[in-house]
Amino acid sequence: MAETWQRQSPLARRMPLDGAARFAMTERAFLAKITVRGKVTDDAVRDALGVSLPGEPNTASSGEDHAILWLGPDEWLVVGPPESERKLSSTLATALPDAAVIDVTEGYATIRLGGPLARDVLSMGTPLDLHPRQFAAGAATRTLFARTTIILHKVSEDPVFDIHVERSQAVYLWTWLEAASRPYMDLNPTTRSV
Amino acid sequence: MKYSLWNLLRQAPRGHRDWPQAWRNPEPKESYDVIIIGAGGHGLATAYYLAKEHGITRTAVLEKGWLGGGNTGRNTTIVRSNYLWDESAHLYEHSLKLFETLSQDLNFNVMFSPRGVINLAHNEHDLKELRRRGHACRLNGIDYEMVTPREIKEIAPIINVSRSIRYPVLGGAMQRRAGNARHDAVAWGLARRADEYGVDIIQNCEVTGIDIRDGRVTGVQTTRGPIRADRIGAVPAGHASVIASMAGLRLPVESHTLQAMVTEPVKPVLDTVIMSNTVHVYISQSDKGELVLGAGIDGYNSYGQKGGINVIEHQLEGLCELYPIVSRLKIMRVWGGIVDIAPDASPIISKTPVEGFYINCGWGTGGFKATPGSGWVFAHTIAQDRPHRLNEAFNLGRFESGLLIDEHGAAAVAH
Amino acid sequence: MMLIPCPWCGDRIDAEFTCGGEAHIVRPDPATASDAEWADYLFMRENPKGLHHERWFHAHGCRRWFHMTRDTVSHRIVAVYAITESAPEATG
Ligand SMILES: Cc1cc2nc3c(=O)[nH]c(=O)nc-3n(C[C@H](O)[C@H](O)[C@H](O)COP(=O)(O)OP(=O)(O)OC[C@H]3O[C@@H](n4cnc5c(N)ncnc54)[C@H](O)[C@@H]3O)c2cc1C
Ligand SMILES: [Zn+2]
Repeated sequence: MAETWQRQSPLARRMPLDGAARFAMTERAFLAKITVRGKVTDDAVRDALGVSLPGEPNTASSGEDHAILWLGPDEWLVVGPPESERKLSSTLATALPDAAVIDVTEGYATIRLGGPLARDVLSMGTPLDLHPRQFAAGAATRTLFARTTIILHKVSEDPVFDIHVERSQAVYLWTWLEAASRPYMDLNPTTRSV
Repeated sequence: MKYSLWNLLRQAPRGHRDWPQAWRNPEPKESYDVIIIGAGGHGLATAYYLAKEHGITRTAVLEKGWLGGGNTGRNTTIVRSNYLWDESAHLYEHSLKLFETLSQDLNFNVMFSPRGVINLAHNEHDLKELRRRGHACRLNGIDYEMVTPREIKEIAPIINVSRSIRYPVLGGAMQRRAGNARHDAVAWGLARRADEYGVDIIQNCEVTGIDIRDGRVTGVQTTRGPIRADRIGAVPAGHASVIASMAGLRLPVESHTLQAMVTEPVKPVLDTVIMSNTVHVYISQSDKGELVLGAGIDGYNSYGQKGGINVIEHQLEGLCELYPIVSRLKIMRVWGGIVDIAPDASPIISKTPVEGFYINCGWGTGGFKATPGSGWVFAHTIAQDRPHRLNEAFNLGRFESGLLIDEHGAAAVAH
Repeated sequence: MMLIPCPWCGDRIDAEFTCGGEAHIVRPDPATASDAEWADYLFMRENPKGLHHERWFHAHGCRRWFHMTRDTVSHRIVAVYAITESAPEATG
């Protein structure tokens, strides 16, 4: 972890979009992010974090403090509260001796989208079916979005989406989302698609 | 009948009703001296030069569709010779020289227009690579000079040379003798002259098998019956592997879809050709006024003449940034052709382990420019049963010897 | 444009994948292979017009390699199987 005084999020200078009734976009700076690859058992994870391991593709499981996202058949992203990455990675490393536990906190930025039009805005960047029937709360996947790779996590049905994106792509993605949302910001929220 | 002012005047009072057909539509004969598979530009040029240079006129050109309906009629018509290695430089330069006099030679206007081709550099590496290629070209007597962003802007005012775009234009290199030609006219002109020599161009005639006895070809099976010949030259572009497999051979090529598109026609805005390897975009303006835009290949094998929309999207993103006026134009047509990609981005013009069976393929995304040159050396190879000095290095054996001719730099962008 | 059924993630657009080319090419022992055998291994390809066994990589998804049998004309996908498996009999 970098020293706090010199640590800066790539999105530090971006103004959150707060059209809560339609579309909102904020940064969730400095979340702890750990990738885990290898032999991982549900029991061990549950003992360590109190969250069960998502075994199915395209899913995530969430607890009070942590979310675990399925990325591949032996790969997960563990997300925790800011400043917890040291503790989190040592906890995981101890609990999962047969897995590679890597702290990627500084490598990714996280953008949170919300509001009734969030799905419409997202749909401009991906052909994934984001309808709640297909992509319900707890869905998560790595995917191609607006030419960059993102990890998309639907946190709740409100809806709230978290996007984890590589740090160097964060400003690009933020600007892209801002532009994509512009036409929607003037819309009446009741005109959204169903 | 010769196309001349005299004949034009003579035909005028008759309402131009007596012009003869440009080529016949003959029934296949039982046998020929030479069979050419594929009536694309390369196949037709081969038949033409077999007649003109080697006196071989008992030739059939077999075409499964209509002549010039393959990549010949689908390409973006860039003609240039600024290749890196001596072998390629000599071959493509020979072809460019043939292009310079092709209209007179064929008595058919192929509309060769040496309007210049510029390659853009968007980073230090590009600049170095272009300088290196420029030196190599000049050592081979081929013009290829560096141009600054300001010079490029003067030549092509529609280009965005701002420093603040994602891939700014840092410079470029220009071959002034390069340019465009009318693709259909090249096929038609070659077909007409070959036909005059007595060559049978047989359309709607698909080759379905190759007859081989004791390691020698004896003829082909076609959808219009068997045809005999003891020399067969295959020039089937994207279908090279399919034809080769009929002769029991495997080739080092893979077929991919390559797409291109045109915008609605506009007033003249661009009188040169500009290519960019880095952003994979190239542009020219046709005589009709359409901007002709080339895309990249799809990343997987394909014989479907229809490509992925994401490739087009990628292409247009780059275009809109480099040439902002494109963002206001409608795209009228998008199409695809099947190109035969070789591992070293160089063609194969070669004898094969089967005697009397010759293959000319691997031109991939860039063989239009070589149409007359390719036919010229291939005719020599077939007539003499040995390659010409110009295509000696482009043999199948190079994949065993390792003497590859790596032209990925000169051919990186489809062109 | 194809929808490719990743064995893990399900249907995704082809842009999420990288095609690794012809599958099941066996590497000869470089110490004993002749130049011809080596050239065959390195460069020669079936490149069929029709069914093709090939390797695909879900580059922007689960980052796993898998095998797929696809028609190179219609792009119809007839089989998806593990990277460790050999070509399914019925498809060719
Ligand atoms: C979109 C696009 C853009 C391009 N841009 C350029 C460019 O700007 N500059 C450049 O130099 N090159 C360019 N190329 C490449 C160039 O078009 C080809 O390399 C070249 O045309 C190939 O030679 P050809 O003309 O003989 O091929 P084709 O015209 O494809 O001829 C091959 C013929 O063989 C026939 N055939 C196949 N199988 C059989 C069979 N079994 N029996 C009978 N006939 C058969 C086909 O029907 C076809 O007519 C481009 C290609 C494409 C697709
Ligand atoms: Zn996947």
